[in-house]
Amino acid sequence: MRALGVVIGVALIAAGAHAASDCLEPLRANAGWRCHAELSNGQGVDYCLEHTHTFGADPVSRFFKLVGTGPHTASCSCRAKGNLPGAAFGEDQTYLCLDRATDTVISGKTTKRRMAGQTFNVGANLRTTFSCEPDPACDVQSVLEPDLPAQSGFVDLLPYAVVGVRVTGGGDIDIGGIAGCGGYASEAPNVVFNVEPGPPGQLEIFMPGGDVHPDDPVLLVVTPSGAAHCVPYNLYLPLERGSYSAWVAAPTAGFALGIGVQGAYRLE
Amino acid sequence: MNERHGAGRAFFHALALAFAALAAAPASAADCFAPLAANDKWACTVELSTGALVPYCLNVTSTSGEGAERTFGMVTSGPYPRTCTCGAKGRGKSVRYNAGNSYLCFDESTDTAESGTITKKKLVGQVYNVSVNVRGTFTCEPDPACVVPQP
Repeated sequence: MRALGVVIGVALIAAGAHAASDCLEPLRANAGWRCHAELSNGQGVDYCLEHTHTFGADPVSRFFKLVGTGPHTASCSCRAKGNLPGAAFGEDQTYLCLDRATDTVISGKTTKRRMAGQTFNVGANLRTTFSCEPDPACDVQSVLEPDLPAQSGFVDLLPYAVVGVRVTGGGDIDIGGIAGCGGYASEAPNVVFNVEPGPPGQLEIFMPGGDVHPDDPVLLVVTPSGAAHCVPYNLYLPLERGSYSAWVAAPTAGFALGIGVQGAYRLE
Repeated sequence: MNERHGAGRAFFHALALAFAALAAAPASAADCFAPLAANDKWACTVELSTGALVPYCLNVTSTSGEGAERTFGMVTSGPYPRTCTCGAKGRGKSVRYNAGNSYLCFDESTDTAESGTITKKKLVGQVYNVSVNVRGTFTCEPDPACVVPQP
C-alpha cells in the first residue's frame, strides 16, 4: 500500500511537470523580484529585477525584457521544450537572455516562487549564480525601450534622401546614466529610422536648428547593434542594416519639446 | 501478507539504490571541458525556430586562464566564433564556478547567447540570436572529420 502511495506520488510529480507553465507566466504574475548573486570574484550582490515588456504573442518568436538594478536590460526568450526535430520553441520554464550593453549571457529557470540561474559576463570574464524571490516592492529605475513602437512612426530611409518627422521629445526617464547623455526622454523612441542596405556607408541623424533651439535638446540614438550615442544635435554613424531608434531628450523631467528629427544615409 | 511485505521491501530497496546512484552521478561527473579536451571536433544539427534543420561542425579553438576564470573558444561553420565557460556547480557559498557540465557562450559577431550541457558522447543546447530574434536547439556528437573551414 505504501509502495502504491510512492508510485502515485511520483506519477503526480510527473503530471505536474507536464502541466507546468512556460518561463514567462511567473514573471507576468510577479513583475518585481528580489535577487541575490554570488560572483566568481567572491563578492555577493543584492539587487532587484523587473519584467518590463513582452514583445509578440507567438512563443516561437516572442521575447521579453528583464531590467535589473543598475539599470541593466536583457533581452530574453523562454527556451525550447523537447528534442529536435519538433522542439516547442519558447515553451519551457528555462530561459536564455543577453545583455548587449555588457555582453552578458544569462541562463535560468523561473517557477512561481523562485528564479535561479547563472550569468557569464564575457568582457569582464565574470560569472555569477543567482536566486530571486517575488517582491512587489523591489523596484528598478525606468529605462528607454528601443523595441516599443515609435511615437512618431517608423521611417524607411532611402539612399541620399533626407527624410524628417516632427516629434515631441522629453519625458520622465533620466538618461544621465548613458555615457555622454543628459536630460529626460520618453520610454518609447520618438522615431525609428530603418535602413535596408548594410555597410559600407554612413548614416546621419540630426535635429535641424537643434543648435539654436531655446530648450537645449539632446539627440539619443540606439543603433541596430545596441550601441547608444548622445549628441547635441547632429550624429554621424557607420551604416548598419536595421533599425535606429531615436529620442529627443529635454533638460527637465516631464517637459514636452517639439522639434524635427531627420535621417539620411549614403553608400560608399 | 509476507509476500506483499517482501515485495514492498524490494521496491524501497530498489528505490533507495536508484536515489543513491542519482546522487553519486553528479559528484563523479567531469566539467564541461573534459569531453571537449578529448574530442575537439563535433558534428551537429540545429533546428531553428524558422523551421530549418541545419547541419554544421563545431570545433574547439582555444582555452585561456585557469580554475574559475578559465574560458574556452569554440567556432561553428560560418565561421561563427564564441567565448565560453563551464557553468557553476553547487549553490550559495559552496558554489564552484567553471566546474559543471553545463556551459554558457557568447558569440559577439551575431549577438547570440548559447547554453547547453556537454557529456563524453553528446553536446546539446540552445541558442538565442537577439539581433535577428531567432532561436535554435541543437545536438552534437564527436566527429574528428568535422572541420570548420577558416576564411
